[in-house]
Amino acid sequence: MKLLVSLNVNGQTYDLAVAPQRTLLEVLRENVRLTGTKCGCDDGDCGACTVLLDGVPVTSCLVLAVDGQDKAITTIEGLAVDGELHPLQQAFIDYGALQCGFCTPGLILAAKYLLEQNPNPTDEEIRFGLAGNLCRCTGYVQVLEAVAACRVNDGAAVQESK
Amino acid sequence: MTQEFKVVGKPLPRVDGYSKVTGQAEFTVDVDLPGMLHGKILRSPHPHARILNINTCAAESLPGVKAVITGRDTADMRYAFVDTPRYPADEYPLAQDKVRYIGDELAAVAAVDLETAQQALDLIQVEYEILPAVFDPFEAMHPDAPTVHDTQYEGRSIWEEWGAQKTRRSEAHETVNNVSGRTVITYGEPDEAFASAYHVREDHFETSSTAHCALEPHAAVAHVDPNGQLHMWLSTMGIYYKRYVIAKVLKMSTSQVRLHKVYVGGAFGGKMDVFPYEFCSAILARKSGRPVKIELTREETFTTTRIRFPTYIDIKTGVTREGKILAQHIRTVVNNGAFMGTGPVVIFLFHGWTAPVYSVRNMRYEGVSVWTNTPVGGPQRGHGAPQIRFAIDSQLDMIAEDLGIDPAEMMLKNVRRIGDVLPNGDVLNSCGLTDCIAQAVDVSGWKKKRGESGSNRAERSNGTKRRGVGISTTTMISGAPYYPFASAGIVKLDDDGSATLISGVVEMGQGAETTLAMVAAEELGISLTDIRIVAGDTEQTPVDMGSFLSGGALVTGDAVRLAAADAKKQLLEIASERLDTLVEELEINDGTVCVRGRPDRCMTFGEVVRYSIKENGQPIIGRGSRKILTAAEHYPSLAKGTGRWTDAYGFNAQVAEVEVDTETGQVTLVRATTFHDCGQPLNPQIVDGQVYGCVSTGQGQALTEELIFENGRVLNSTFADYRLPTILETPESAGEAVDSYEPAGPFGAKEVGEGVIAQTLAAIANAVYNAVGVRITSLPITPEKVLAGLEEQRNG
Amino acid sequence: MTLQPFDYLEPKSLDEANAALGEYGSKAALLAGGTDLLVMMKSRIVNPKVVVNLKRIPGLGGIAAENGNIRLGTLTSFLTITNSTLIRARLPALAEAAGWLGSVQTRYQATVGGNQCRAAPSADSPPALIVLGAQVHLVGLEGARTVPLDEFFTGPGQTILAPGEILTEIRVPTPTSASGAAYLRHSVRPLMDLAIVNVAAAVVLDEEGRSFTDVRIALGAVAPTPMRAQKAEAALRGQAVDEHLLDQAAELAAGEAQPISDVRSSAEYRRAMVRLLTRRALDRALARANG
Repeated sequence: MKLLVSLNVNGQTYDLAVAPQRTLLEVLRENVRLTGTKCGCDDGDCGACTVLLDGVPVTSCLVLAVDGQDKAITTIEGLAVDGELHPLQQAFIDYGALQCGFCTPGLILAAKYLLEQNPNPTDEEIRFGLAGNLCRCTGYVQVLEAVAACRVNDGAAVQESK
Repeated sequence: MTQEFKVVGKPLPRVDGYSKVTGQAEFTVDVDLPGMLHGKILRSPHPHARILNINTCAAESLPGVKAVITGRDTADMRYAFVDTPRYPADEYPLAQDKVRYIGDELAAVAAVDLETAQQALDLIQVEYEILPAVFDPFEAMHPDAPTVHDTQYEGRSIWEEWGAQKTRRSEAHETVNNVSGRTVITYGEPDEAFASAYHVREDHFETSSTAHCALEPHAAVAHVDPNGQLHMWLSTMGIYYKRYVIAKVLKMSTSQVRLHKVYVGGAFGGKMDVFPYEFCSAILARKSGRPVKIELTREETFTTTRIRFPTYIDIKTGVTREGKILAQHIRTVVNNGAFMGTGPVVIFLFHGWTAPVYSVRNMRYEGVSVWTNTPVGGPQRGHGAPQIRFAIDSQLDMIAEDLGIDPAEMMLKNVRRIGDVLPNGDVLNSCGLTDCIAQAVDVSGWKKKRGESGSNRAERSNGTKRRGVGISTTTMISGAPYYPFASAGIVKLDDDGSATLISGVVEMGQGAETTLAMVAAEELGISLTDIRIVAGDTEQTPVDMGSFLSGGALVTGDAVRLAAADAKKQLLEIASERLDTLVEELEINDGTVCVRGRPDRCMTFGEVVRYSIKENGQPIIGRGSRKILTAAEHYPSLAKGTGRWTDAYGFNAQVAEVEVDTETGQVTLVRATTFHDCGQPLNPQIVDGQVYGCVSTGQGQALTEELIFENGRVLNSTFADYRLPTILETPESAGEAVDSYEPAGPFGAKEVGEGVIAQTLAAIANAVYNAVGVRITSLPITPEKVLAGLEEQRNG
Repeated sequence: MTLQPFDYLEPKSLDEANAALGEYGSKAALLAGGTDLLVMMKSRIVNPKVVVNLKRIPGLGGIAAENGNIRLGTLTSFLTITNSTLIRARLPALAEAAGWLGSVQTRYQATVGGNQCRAAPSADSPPALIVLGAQVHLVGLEGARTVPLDEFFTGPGQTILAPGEILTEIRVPTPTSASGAAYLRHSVRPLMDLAIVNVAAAVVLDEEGRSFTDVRIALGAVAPTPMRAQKAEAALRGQAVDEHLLDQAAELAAGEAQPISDVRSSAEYRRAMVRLLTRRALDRALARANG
């Protein structure tokens, strides 16, 4: 028996009829047709499905679509504004912080939340903030550099931590 | 050799960066076609059983189910990565008579959604006769052990058109139960050399099974169009290889199968083989008349694709008093699981990763691969190198301690140098091993941390947390001969002076698209922003050797360079005609051709192209190609190790610094200092990324990663219980490429991206020993093992 | 695997929720954060026909200090707990337990009530809450009751919750100034792994700060439920604070633990870690009591 939900995704409203057992991840990819959010394990262990709910990262594979009602959902597609990349997206490109790109959307969204809560995180705080996002390609070094470069003090702290 | 380039050698941003950071890049799992069905596979719950009956009636009548297939539908479809008279192919897309491991494929369904597909699987009734199973390769070799493959595989190899031998080239070895492959390589006089050695050691090492953990699960989409062409979107490493196998097995011609471009979400060797789910997606698409997508769950990816071979290694080494290696006798046994996978290949590779590093004149190497009722082994980053280097360099560290010398010094006494000819005939036209070791030792603070002597006899620190350093070296090929044996490139120039590079390469994260575009841009004389790349589609792009033999830089890179050079040659000829001068008088700078010293006599690339088209109706299209291995006529012999197999080797040395918590046994990798010889780094930022990625995986496989089995079942097939490194585990990294030049590669480049991982394991094991005096000879180095070792030490 | 179909209810009040549970009994499951329930449903470990979402019921969230208690609504997320200045100041052991619970994503979704009801032997917050003297408030069809948390767990995944009962609140007595508590966990990867062993300790010291008037030690992941190390506690209670005694208590705790060997660790190693962590937890609790 399908339920009517109204999902606010990247500022746009999608009125959908979804069965209650559909996860937010499935509905974003299949109904809203935004495939930037990925399924890496479907179990909440890898972070590839990370989206922001009211600005806070969640593993969307463990959120029922019906629970997305009344929340502002942000996916990777919602980060660039008018074609202008978010500073984190630009930093990931500049620092080579991506390789296959599959974990990248989730990682960038988790980093966005981290920097909004703590605009000047230490190296350790960055690591703790991103520990829920697995990456097998990069070895994380350039990811740390990219996020550090987005610190409020223009990454001066990056030199210290190196 | 320091060279100045305009594009190559610069840390330019990736060309696929924008599409990946915005989530636009399309992976197989993102492909969605009208009317697409979802497929699921029925898998055996038993490690070994005869299939008495499969009843699919109920599944077929379930509303929403559009096609069901079983082994009957794949009875004439025998295939495998290795398919020779000595090693005939042993796999079918769906099981025929028996299931041979937990997860073995029996049937497949395609339905309107995943839920229905899952329900359909639950409705398939299978009658099994459970057979005794064997899980350990040594038990499997007993004559009384259950025989995993009791069938004689007959019939034609799909490789005969490509020169695969119809009969064996050499004598068969004696048949032993469940042995799927055997390699014996001897040269020199090992017995004599051992007899004359000052010191001889014999040691045993074991490594566990590990998983690739690419973040994108294995997936396939298949669709047959009204003309009968099979279209596929595969998360794979080699589109031409897969196209060939799938076409041949499905009794189609290769041109009837098209593999479309997708980005691949990581592979690391695990997506090279052709898999049952790929065949099933195609067969289901044919049967249902609709596109079919099969996406494996994470559990299926862990347990039913490929794993790293669990390996047992015995090494006996004889050395002089000064530490020069005189002789080695190496025996390896791998458990290849229910099918050969690349078992017969990896036992050949163990020697292949030994010979290029230390010069050993007297060698006896024996490797055996064994069938058991467990998941199948295949290539995984390093493909045997991590295991064998772990053994060799751990033992070298032990020998160095026995002799009271510095293991780094001992390595320097034994490493190969430029010009060396290997026992199989490969020539080292570039070899930076000495530099790699020297710089790793220097930059890591080796002497300070181990004492001036560098030996393991120095005093250890006290305190509950103790640090130590260890060193290891390794190597990797730059391409090896396998279908399709060559790579090609096409460079076409546009009338605005920009260019398009067309290549069959697969971009799976290694930065191939960017690196190749840079090579073409450098050769042409334009910037990276003025070249686009179209890649990875068997219909739209030319043949490519695939990204599973580490030949991307050297082989495909060179093919692309040649294509760009061809386009440049045409450009210069046309310009010389228009500018009324000799080609030799022209020079290119930033997309402009000028008569040397005459800035008033120039043409932009765009002007040349437009002139050529208006005058002669001829666009400028350059082509180039390169054979994977320039000299060889046939495959190297897997069984005897003879025959050349690569034009160049990458080399690496790494010093690992660890901290051991003596109260918990936990080992932290604090710092990895890696110096590597990749010839000319084509893009240093991408090269660094490859090194960091290798260090991370190496760290995981040394310390925390292990697939845990119980009676053939994997107990930890989730990311929660399979412990790959998170960002928290990231060590400090230091090091860079040493100065080197490989003449066979584009601008001097050769392999990087697969080699570095192999040395991390021994470097860490040696560092642990240096820190606390506990020698761990089985991987992973778990806190339990370290704590037990410390306990033993305390009890004397 | 994909979730199997279920009927979905969003009660707007506790009464509605109780009634739904009463009607469907064991065919229904309560949904809070979903980080445990959905995982178990995907693996087919549980297969509820009805899922009752608690999150639309007002009054089940929030942290408040009143009447000598700190009250945590069942739906309070671990992220809220780690960010709460009140918890960090008054119940640092709970903030510690919450901080180690998986990733930031998990902490945002997972709820403190759900963590108790899931009753996983290796759960992070139960040992900390137990040593803090937590009580759980349960509301059912027959009425409400309050039960000490260390009586709540009956086995792996099993609690004393009666059919229709819902855990609505956790109450922790405000610690006195002479007390201190700490939580430690041990795993191979510090974050993201289930704990191999976790230990919480709470101490109350006498006026001079030299003897224990009370000690509570709770061990996780080494028994079917989180357990009190009662012999270790008894060895310390009423005694003067002494190095030797602390070691003995750690030894006793290690002896009382009932660890098993499983895919994550061996029984022997777990026992060794209980000894190590109990000593460290006691040391840290003492430092907080004295500080």
